[in-house]
Amino acid sequence: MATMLKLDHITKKFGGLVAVNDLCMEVKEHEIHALIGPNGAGKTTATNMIEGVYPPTSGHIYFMDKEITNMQTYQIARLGIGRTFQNIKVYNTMTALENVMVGGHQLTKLDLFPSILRPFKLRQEEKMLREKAEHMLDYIGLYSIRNELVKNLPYGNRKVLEIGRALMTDPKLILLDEPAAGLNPSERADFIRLLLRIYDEGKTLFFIEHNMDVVMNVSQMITVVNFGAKIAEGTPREIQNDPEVIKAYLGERFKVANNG
Amino acid sequence: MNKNTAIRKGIIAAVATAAGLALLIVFFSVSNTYVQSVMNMLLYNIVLVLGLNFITGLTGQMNLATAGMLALGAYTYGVLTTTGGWEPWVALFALFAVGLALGRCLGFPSLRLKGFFLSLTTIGFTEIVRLLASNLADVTGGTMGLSNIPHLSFFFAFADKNSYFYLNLIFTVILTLIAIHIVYSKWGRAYKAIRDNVEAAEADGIHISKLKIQAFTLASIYAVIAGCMYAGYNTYLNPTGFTITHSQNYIAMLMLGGLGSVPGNIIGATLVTVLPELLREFDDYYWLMFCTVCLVMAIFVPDGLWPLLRKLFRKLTRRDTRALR
Repeated sequence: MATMLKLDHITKKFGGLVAVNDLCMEVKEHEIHALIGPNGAGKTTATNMIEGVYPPTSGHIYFMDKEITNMQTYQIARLGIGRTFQNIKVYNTMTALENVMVGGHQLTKLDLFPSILRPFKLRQEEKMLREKAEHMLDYIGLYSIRNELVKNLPYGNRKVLEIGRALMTDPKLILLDEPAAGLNPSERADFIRLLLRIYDEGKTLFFIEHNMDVVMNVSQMITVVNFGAKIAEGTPREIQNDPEVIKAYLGERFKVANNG
Repeated sequence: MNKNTAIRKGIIAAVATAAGLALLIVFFSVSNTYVQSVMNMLLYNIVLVLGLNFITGLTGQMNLATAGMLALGAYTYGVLTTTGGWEPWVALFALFAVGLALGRCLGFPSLRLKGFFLSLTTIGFTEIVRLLASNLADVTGGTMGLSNIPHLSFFFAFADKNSYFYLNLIFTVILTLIAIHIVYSKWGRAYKAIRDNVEAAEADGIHISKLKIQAFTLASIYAVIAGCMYAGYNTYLNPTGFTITHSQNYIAMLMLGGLGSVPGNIIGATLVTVLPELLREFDDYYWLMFCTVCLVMAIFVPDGLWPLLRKLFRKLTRRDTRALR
């Protein structure tokens, strides 16, 4: 399988604090890759660097063999990396449908002044976006609440909606920052099913997660970081039996519980 | 869904035409210069608030430079057509150029500045324009003002004041239609996305700095056209008409009508322009009365009048459909 995303010796320092230290990793095409580690290990910092929120202090990031290290966030998003956030970021004053339609904004071509001169073309684009967004809401199972204001929606729905919005950008790779956090077991099961469906459509998933139930069942490859540096990488089975990971993160209890 | 947008579009169109018709009717019923000048004030205030809506209502960047933008438009038109001796319709092109440049000048600071700091910067801009207008006496006529400004006539058409009013009405209607077109499309959504959550908008592939500058440019183009409508109708300008208080007034119009919606802007502008005139009967107390009305509205309808009216309208239509079933 070809490499989709490659982090090449990236380091990020915030003043004297080294948040990410010489991290190398690869995400293969059509793979579910998890990034785990204790709190403060630099997982979110790594995601933010991939998305171009801030540039790495040193090192390079490649997406589909193209260097994206110093690109702006919006440029990286347009190349095909969608993302969801740890603390959900949705547009509260808009309806669910409008939220998803914003995700499709970059797919339309008409600029502002041409769109004043060509009103019919703009309406046509609008119709295309609306239809695509309705399909998307149907796909993620929120079609019935499409006209609700997002600020009135429960947490679980907003979480799913955020994924729908990320999917609307037509990404090849989706970064999910703690997607299962705050969901109850049944919501979590639905959520996993949705993620697997997205995977089956040919998307590559890269996610940060603390919930071992999700990580071990869903991912094909796991990277473990601690204090900003990679301490292990491998399949779920390998990771579960890696002594260093057990010491730093999982704990003995997890190994025993899994074997028993 | 399509049904819903059809209804929404219907409402917007209805309100726009109703407002236009109301203006015409008021003008025909009481055709005197006082009413006409108040109506002209209403027209350019509507244009200003529609412009302000792009940047403050939708994109959420507090802009107190409205009076400064208006002044710059009015003085550009006034100076070019009097001391410059330009044909009024040629000056219109210069106005567009000023609008484009102004949007960039104010847009770039807004990429770095947020909240209070942007407000202060825009207040500063308004003050600078006002001080320049009162102190560059050779060009602007200083505090004595600039008089004998011609109407925006196209050779012989719209040459007298009465017909010029209708030209302003046409301008207002066109600018309103353009505003509806932009606000209720992908642009309006993208601007709102920037207001609601910048990080998420950026991750959705929205070019934040480009859109912010665009919103500022739209606001400044609307404002300079309003300036032309102001200077061309009154034929006289002086710097006291462009203070920070005026900028605040436009924010009040935006808030009272309802942020981010075109009918709300029109309602807000109408309320703040016409209500003080209607309350003039109370002599010394009319300003007090007006402020009380505004305060009461700020407490009881914080989202503005338009969302309230729309809720009422929806309730009525829902009852109707039930009755039909």
